[in-house]
Amino acid sequence: MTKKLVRDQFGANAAAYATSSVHAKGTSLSRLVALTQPQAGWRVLDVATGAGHTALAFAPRVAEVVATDITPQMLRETAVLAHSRHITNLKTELADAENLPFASETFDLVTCRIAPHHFPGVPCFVAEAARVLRPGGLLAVADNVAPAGAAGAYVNAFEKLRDPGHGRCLTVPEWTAAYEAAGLTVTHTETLWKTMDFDPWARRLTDDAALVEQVRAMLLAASGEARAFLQPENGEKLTFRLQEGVFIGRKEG
Amino acid sequence: MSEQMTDMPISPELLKILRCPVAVQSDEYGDDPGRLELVKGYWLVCADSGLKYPIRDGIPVMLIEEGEKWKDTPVDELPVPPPSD
Repeated sequence: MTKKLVRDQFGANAAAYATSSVHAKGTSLSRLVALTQPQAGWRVLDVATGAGHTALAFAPRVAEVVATDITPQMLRETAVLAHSRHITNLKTELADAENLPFASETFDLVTCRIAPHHFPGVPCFVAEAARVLRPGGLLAVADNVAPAGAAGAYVNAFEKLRDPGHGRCLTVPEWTAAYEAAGLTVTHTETLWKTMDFDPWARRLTDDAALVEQVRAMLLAASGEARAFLQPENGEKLTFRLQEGVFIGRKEG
Repeated sequence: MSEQMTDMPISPELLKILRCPVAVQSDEYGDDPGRLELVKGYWLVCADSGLKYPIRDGIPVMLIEEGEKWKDTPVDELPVPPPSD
């Protein structure tokens, strides 16, 4: 049910993601490239590629990129962007992040950016990524993270109100535990704050003005640790912040 | 790129690494489970699991729910091209 919801929602809003600056140009994208140092001979898998921004950033640097998503409309956006940039080494297919349709030990690098908070089972995804990595290969994830405890619950509820397809943002320790449980050695962890403009963020997924107002009210009502995390600022325009975690892990062997 | 390759609905490189997401998890089918055969130009058929995955608009649909939908359809009755979702 949740996957269908995610698929329907992204299907309807695919073009908005193709042009979203957070998704196209976020700092975490350049960090993923810098931290993984992609090599010319690599075969890369980008899971839940969305409009393909991460896959497209890696494609010119490696031999081959396979980009997967569960939403056909998003993959069409990816293909359009690839064509417009003359990228020919990118292939797309519909696949589920928790059931990757690839032979084991196939990829040098698996990437996944700003997507796992939609997945019902992040540990399943991490285990599947580890399976398809060749020994020595890297898993590189960037995703929104939440603080622990009640503040984390508030931040997740706030995101879920705006986006019913939002599953849950994990905490940093939950991410590193998932890597270790899948047999990956965490080689690098960092967190990045990103300032969000409330209005375009809230309206990317809905034109329901009443819902946008509810989400706004929830942001402004945040207190304690949740407020310290989100830091809503109501100046000329309403802004707040979210935190992204970047996690790099290596499959030993 | 040869004529033959441009006619392929799926690149040979991708076919080489793609597996049925169900059978690939099993240890019943030998060392390399879940291999797929391209059938009728539009279908990827897994002999191990019996699941059959359509290629729509050039994109392989490798979702388990989709593969299961066609499991009981004999290969020679698979529609060409596959119906849209």
